[in-house]
Amino acid sequence: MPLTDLLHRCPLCGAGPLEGARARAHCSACGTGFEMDGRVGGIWVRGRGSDRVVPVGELMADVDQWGREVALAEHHASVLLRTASGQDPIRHRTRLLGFAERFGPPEAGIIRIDDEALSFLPDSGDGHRSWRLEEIRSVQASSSSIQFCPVDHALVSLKLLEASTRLWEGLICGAIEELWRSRGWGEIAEFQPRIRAL
Amino acid sequence: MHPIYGAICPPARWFLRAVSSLEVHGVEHIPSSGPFLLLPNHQSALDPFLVQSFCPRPVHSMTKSTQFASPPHRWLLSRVGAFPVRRYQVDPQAVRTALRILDAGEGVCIYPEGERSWDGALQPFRRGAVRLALRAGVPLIPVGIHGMFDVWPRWLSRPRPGARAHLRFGEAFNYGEIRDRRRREALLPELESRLAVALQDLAQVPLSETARRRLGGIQESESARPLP
Repeated sequence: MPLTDLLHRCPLCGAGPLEGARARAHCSACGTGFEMDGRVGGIWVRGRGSDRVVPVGELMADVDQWGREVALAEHHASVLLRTASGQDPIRHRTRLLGFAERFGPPEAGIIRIDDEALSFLPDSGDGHRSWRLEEIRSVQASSSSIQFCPVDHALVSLKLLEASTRLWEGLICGAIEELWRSRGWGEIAEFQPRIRAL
Repeated sequence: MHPIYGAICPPARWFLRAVSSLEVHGVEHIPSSGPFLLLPNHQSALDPFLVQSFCPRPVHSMTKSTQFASPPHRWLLSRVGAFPVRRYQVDPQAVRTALRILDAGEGVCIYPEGERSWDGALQPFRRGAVRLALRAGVPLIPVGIHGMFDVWPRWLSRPRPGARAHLRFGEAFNYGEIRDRRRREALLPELESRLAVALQDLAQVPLSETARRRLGGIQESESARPLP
């Protein structure tokens, strides 16, 4: 995953997505360059006549601010969907340590989200799936995947092929927060191990 | 502990020193015998290697269950003391395993934020992790990790050498064994606050905006040291 996973749109002008690889990103709309530099504890922002180091959290906040101006329905992303088909016990010698998921085969397709549901449209055309947001019991980002657990269903894992994991974690969590607020279920305090309101 | 654990530690220490100018402090806070629970902040995929290789006693790390999905990972992780937790549901088996290890007088490591930070800042703690810490009734040792975010943030596929990093084991909190569940529940906010203050000081990282909202103003007023 490159820096564009974190800066999925330009923190300065809001254009997106950015171009880049590894620890560098570039906004072709305003010409600003971004480079992570661990030695200075932040990200170099170069362009518009200045070079400065900005804390990562500050840039993230600006990216999130711009992201809120884009309608949910405009977002879509290519994913590999896998569903857990069961759980395997994990043992060391004879001792049970815990359980881990056994995932089924991956399925390529497109993910979309709106105010009511998260939908998956497979590339094969068959087997369109949809999960109503109110049915989702937990959400987590894991490396380049978003995982969620619908009520009475097994864990669903969406490996994002190009889009930002952070963007999609924010989109899904934000849409669920908005739904809970509109239904009067309270402000969500955490999304794992289950969605819980204050 | 399995011999593989001991075999991995020296190369892990060498590697971590090669990718960062690393300083380690506070190893004297690890008890020489008996159970203990390490509670580090989580910045990077390197953190488990960092904590386990520099902790003077073997540690069992609570690890996300999806890491155990492939057979080679499963084989290796179970031999280096890791045990799985299903993060997307309440996982009583993970709690049982952690308590069983502590009952045997060994060390356990739980990352109370539950995932790596996106920006290096301290995230809100998972309520279940804090609840388990209180239920364990063992010395709770906050561990501050600084700089590993700069070496390998979660959105990079490979580490970038060159950053300064430090690992600081803090002084233990001792709540002792509290049998009354209601008393433990009443102590949860206090432990959350103490842990947040300790980790900010040890790791020299700020609280994330979400954590600040969750924890209220307590940390900001109690934290004496200005944060970078």
